[in-house]
Amino acid sequence: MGENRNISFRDPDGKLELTEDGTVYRHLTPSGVIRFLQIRALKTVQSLQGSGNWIDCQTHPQEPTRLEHPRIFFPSYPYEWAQGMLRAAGLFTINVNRLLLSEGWELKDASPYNILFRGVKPIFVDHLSPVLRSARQMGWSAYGQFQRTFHIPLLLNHRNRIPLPWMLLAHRDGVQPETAFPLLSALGRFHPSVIAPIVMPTLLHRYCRVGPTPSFSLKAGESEEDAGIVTNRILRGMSRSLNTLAAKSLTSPWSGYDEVLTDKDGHQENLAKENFLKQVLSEFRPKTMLDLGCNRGKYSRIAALMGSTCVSIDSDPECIERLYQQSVTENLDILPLQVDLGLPSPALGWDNTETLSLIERMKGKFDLTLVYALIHHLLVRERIPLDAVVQFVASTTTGIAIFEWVDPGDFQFKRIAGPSIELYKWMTPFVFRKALEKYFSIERESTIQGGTRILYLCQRRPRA
Amino acid sequence: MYIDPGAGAMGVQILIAGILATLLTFKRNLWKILQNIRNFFKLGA
Repeated sequence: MGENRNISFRDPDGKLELTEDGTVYRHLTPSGVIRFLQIRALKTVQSLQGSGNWIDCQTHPQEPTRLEHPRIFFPSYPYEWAQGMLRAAGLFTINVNRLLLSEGWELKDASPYNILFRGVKPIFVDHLSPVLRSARQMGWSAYGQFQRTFHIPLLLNHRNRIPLPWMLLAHRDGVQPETAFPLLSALGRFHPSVIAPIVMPTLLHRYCRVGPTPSFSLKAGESEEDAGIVTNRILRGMSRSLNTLAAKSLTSPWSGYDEVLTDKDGHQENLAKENFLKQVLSEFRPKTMLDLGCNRGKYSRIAALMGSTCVSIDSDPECIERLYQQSVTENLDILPLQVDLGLPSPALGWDNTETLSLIERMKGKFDLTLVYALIHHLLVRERIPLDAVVQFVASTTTGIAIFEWVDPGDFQFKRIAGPSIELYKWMTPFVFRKALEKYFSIERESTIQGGTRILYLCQRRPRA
Repeated sequence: MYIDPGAGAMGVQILIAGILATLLTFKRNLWKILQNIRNFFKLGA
């Protein structure tokens, strides 16, 4: 611990270093300095920086080879994004590329790792990605990478319902058309949406490979104007196909949970939880909140409307997609992430240094951690000991946490545990309190739903 | 085995670019032909 880490080293012109306090430095080579200055002067970059969609760069006159980037509160990676977020990142990449095209430049790579989200707003973070295009080049040199990292995963998710993390956690550089091809049904191979991104590249790869040199290279157009028109058309076509991949139906076992709760006793429970949270928010005014097991983000929304920056986590992709769509519509400062807490995202990439693990990113990051109706899931489904869950929550917050105790006799607890409900009879308020008091001091508690649920407001004890 | 990543995708892009460029030329030429026809009738008038 205590060491700075190299988190990006693939670009020969500039390597990224992450310091302990979250500041990011970019170390440039002399040729990198020249490129940086050229890129900074581009109108596209300046206007995107003005709208907060391009990462800021601070230069130091004494050290021209070192740039400083502001830290993004919570970096997230493509394998944690909702489907809509990957689509938005793809559309944003194409838009940036089209803007650059009008200045005779283009992005040399098209990776979702070039984009981070601040709330639901995408930010382009790879400052050295733009390169000068050759004047009459027809097409985009990163077309293949775009198809692998954005288009094909989204297509397979949309058509075959393959979860995005299955593809993006396993393949840093996306899914090759040849890998995707066998996943399509015999009839599905004739669907217009898959012909250009999957079927044709696979056939070309199979039958048109000649020798050990790359089989295809971009052609030059008749004139600069023609090349510009053709490239623009190709990019427009790509955004159109991405736009058709909007999430289909949004139903899952948990996406209707809020509706279930609007029935009978559920309504009272909902209201009580809402009021408890609102009271805590207005009293403590937390700047940042982590909502664990957020479902469709009802409570995150309340916190965001009251001025907190929220990171909301749930393992259900449909819930996260809905929360993302709602946050975009209402312009809420919520970062919805699709993560299974029983199997949190690991550190990935070369030497496991290119991405940070979820746990590392969460540690001591939040003023408030909200744990409504989650602990019984972790106890039953994941078999995590209660003490370990409380310790984990304590590691994420610097201030307060809200827990919900659920009685093993509660309908939802019984539904999850099934016949093994007898194994959880020990989960009494007394045992729960004891577990909390190891890491927290209990400030307030409120019994709801006829005593089958208790809400606890806890203050983190200073770390030993 | 030699792996040529993205070769197939680039091939597709080249095909699409080729088709678009042809259409562009065709559109321009068609416009020229139409203009010529118009001019011919104008001259006739």
